[in-house]
Amino acid sequence: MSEPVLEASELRVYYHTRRGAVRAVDGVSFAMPEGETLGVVGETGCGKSTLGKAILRILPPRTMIQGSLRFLGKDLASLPPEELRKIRGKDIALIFQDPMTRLDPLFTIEDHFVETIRAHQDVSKAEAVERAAKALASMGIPESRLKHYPHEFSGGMRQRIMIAMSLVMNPKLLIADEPTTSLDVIVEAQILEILEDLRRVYKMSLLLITHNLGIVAEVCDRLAVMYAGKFVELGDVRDVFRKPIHPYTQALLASTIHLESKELYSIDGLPPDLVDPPPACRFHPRCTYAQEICRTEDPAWVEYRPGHFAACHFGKDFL
Amino acid sequence: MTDAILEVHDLVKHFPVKLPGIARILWGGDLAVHAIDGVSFSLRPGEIFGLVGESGCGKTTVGRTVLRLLEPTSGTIRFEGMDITHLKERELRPLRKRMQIIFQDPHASLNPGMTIGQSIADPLIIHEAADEREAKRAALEIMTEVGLAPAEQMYGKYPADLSGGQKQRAVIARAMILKPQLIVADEPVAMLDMSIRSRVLELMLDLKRRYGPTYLFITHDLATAKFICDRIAIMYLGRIVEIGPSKAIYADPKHPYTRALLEAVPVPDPTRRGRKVLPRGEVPDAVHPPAGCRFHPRCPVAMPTCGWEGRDFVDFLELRWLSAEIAAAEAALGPIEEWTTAGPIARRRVRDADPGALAVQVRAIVGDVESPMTQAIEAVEVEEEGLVVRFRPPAPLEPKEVEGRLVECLLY
Repeated sequence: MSEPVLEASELRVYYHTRRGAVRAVDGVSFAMPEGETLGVVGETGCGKSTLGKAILRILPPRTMIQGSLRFLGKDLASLPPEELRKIRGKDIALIFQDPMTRLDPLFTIEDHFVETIRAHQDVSKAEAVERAAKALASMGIPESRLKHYPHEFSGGMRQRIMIAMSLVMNPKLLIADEPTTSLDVIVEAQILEILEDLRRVYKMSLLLITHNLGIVAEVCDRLAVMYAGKFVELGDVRDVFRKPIHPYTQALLASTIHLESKELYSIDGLPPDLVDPPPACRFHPRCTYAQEICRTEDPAWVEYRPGHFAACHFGKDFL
Repeated sequence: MTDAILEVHDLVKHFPVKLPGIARILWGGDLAVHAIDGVSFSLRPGEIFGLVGESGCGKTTVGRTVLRLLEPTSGTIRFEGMDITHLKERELRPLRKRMQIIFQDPHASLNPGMTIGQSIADPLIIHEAADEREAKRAALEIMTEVGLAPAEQMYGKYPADLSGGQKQRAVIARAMILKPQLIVADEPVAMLDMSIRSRVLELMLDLKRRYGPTYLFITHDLATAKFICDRIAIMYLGRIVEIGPSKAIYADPKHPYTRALLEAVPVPDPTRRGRKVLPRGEVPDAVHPPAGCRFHPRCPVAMPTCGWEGRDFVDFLELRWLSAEIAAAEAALGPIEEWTTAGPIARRRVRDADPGALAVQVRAIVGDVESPMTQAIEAVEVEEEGLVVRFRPPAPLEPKEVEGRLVECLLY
């Protein structure tokens, strides 16, 4: 296997608050091979967005980051800011949930593109505009709309503009944080197909952060389930959906309401406060299978099937 | 159906868009957002009726208008047989006890300065249905029922101390405490995490079994609607396109829009991936809804009679010219900004070219591209101010009975 595009090892991100450190990401390790789409799934506050931001290092000042993050072999942590800036937006691009708040209302779409392109490459404005036009056309948006302002576009178009802008530099890695959450179901499906096509054409790796398991099932190769700052399960999407190992993954899958749901299922309790998470297995207070050991010992990260990992003391019982 | 708890007939709600003077002259008067444009349905006592559609389809406006939180533009609303369309607020007051609403955002629905208990007890006090002691007792009782336990302890907490799920329980408790006949639930679980959505839905079902209210359940989520609704209405741009028993609609959707919506829902099964047939584009602006069937510009099975008009032709050119080659070959017809539309007509002023030659070129394109849109074109003509593309009027459209439900589509 060639060098992974992204490799995280024991990554920790703690936010400083008056109440103490919020352990948003607390020891996460994974590697993404080239061209892979990895879905990171979890509920609100599980740390999945922080993970995405940590990769680009766009976190509030005084946030503590530990562990290593390697992008194509380069340690992102040791890069000086100006080197990091060269990677950001060029080799690693990011699209957010709400495209309206990410486009500057005072600038035209053309301005956005020109700024992005010229920040990374020494090209003439005319050439940048030409590339912008091409990128927009590939998203089904006519060139004539380059001079328009963000508010003149619909939500789906804005998200397509964001995608076009993040792809104009041919990134190796695209981080998409809930890219379709603010969109309607039909537009969501359109955007997902666009992402799918792009990935095939550009062989780009995609880190898709979402709370929606349906989306993961439709577009991802592998899936990581995150709970309270930790990965609890990681594996091929088909394996995880067919035979989830961790009780949290099982519960999350069961609680997803879809068109074929036969009954309603919910997980008792609430996700923990990450200032003071439960000891040992963080899911134990909500887990129906929890035993004494779950309260006292950290579960190991075990490869239960080839490529299928989980952190549960009783993982083998769920095989 | 005289025993309907809520009967809505031909409801219309337009929100005027205020324009500066000059624009008003240009448009010939003020514009309006056509949020609801002739919607009729009725709710049988004790049922869960789903109003389903994408954002901007008018479903929330329907929910608020039937409760008279918004003034209807026209149409009638009957609640328990009584026409409430034009009742004054003073006359509505006593009825409000019997109709309640649950909003989408639990974080914004509770007064941060009141304790949870006070918020829940408040409706009883406002409607003078109980004194303070009784109200508190009733609040504690309903809090236990909705799972805000231990109630005594929760009573004194403030909204900021509660999780999203708990807040939504409090909002439901507040809506239920008057034992209303009708509850409008506007996306009650959309803001909640997957793992607790089910619990809130179960609570709503449980309360229904116990007190038998009728729910008008507003949602964009077809899966949730399928699970809990007895009947559903699918809305698109201010109109109901399909309405009937949930079972029948989910088993065999008839309207192309209903089909598209169902097709688009992600399936949580990675072994069943496949290319979807999706309608192109997005929901158009409700200030100028499309003529004829409002879904026609996006409809995969549209026909020439569905309501094609001038702007559909301009959209067609714009999309066509995404290809640089075609755009270059047809440069004489552009740029796209030179085209204007008015209802069934698309027009291009011609100053510097021979309009006859352009007309020939347009006719050639229209003849070349076989689509319901091009088939709906009546004529491509040269008029004094330039080139005109004229469409035939659409076929009249009305809801039709199809296999146990009403569908508004020319296919039937």
